[in-house]
Amino acid sequence: MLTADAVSASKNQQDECKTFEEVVARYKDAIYNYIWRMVSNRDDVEDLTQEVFVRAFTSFKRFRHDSNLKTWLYRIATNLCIDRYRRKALENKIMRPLDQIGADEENDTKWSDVPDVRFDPLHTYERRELQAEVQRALSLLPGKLRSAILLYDIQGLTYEEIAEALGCPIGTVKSRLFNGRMQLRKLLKPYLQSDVDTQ
Amino acid sequence: MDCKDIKEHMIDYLGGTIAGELRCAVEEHLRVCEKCRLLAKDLERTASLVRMLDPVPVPAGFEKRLSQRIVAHQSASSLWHSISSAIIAIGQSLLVKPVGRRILRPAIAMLLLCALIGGSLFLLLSSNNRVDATDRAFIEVCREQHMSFAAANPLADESALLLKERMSQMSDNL
Repeated sequence: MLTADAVSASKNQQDECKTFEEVVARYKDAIYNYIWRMVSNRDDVEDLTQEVFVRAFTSFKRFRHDSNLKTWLYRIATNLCIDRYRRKALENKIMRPLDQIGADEENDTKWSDVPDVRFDPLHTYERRELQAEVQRALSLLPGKLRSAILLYDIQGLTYEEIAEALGCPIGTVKSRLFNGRMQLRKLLKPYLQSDVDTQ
Repeated sequence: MDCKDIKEHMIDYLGGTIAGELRCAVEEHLRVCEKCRLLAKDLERTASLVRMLDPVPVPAGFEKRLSQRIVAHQSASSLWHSISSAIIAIGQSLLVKPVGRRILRPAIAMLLLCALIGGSLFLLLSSNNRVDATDRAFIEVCREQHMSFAAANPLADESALLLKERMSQMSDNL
């Protein structure tokens, strides 16, 4: 049992949760899935998810009640993932391929122009394999673009909620969504062509 | 509306968040521009590929491990708080107890008074002892001698060498 019954969220917030247990019960799946897609190391996923809730628990009393609890959790999760990503990138910088250096820039591309043989659609008919390729493409996106794509396309947040979660203007959210999808389009080009034959 | 404008509204169009004239303008452009139409289709398909990702189940026992971690975090973070609280509590209890108040308050007052008197005496004595009367008279004589010599010989100082040199040059020129 979580010992947080005394800590309650504001009643006027959109998604009301009376206890911290309810917060965990309601958002653990969403946050876990978001972090799963954000970080490539599977060993980090549960650790980061727990860290999100630990931080949320410790600052629950200071939580700004004018903001959305859900976006607040996503904000913590995003910051943790990007911090972890930066730390790992720093640790592995000497071993990273040249085309990945500086990939934190939003409009920077991380992939080489040389086609990846793993993108051969003949070998990836199965849904599971296709999902693995999509996940791989997502993992190649810069963190800021990846978080915008995940929050919009998978977590189903609105532009306003994403802007609040990422701490940026709505225009930036749309720009990141567009740039993210453009980069995914290049990475997933072989899987898009099956639909293009109707044009 | 041209291809550049379309890109600005593409996300809104695909997300269905634009309506009215703007939507009609985007659709009209997509109808006539094959390149933008293909781009829109690709981006839509890309989004659908991302949306088809299956949710990942949270591992069993997550809440239990989270609870343990929160407890551990709380105990660690409250360690210093406990220590400081204990020190404050001890101090307060000493000052609040009648016996302690009777003993400690006069003692602290005496200490402060001694520190004040001692500090004042030290400053006074040290300033008096720094230069005694004989030294002060000797310094005064030296200063007067120096002033009179400088007044009588304004160019005797080394700093006036350049000035003297310049003056001699001027007299030679004349």
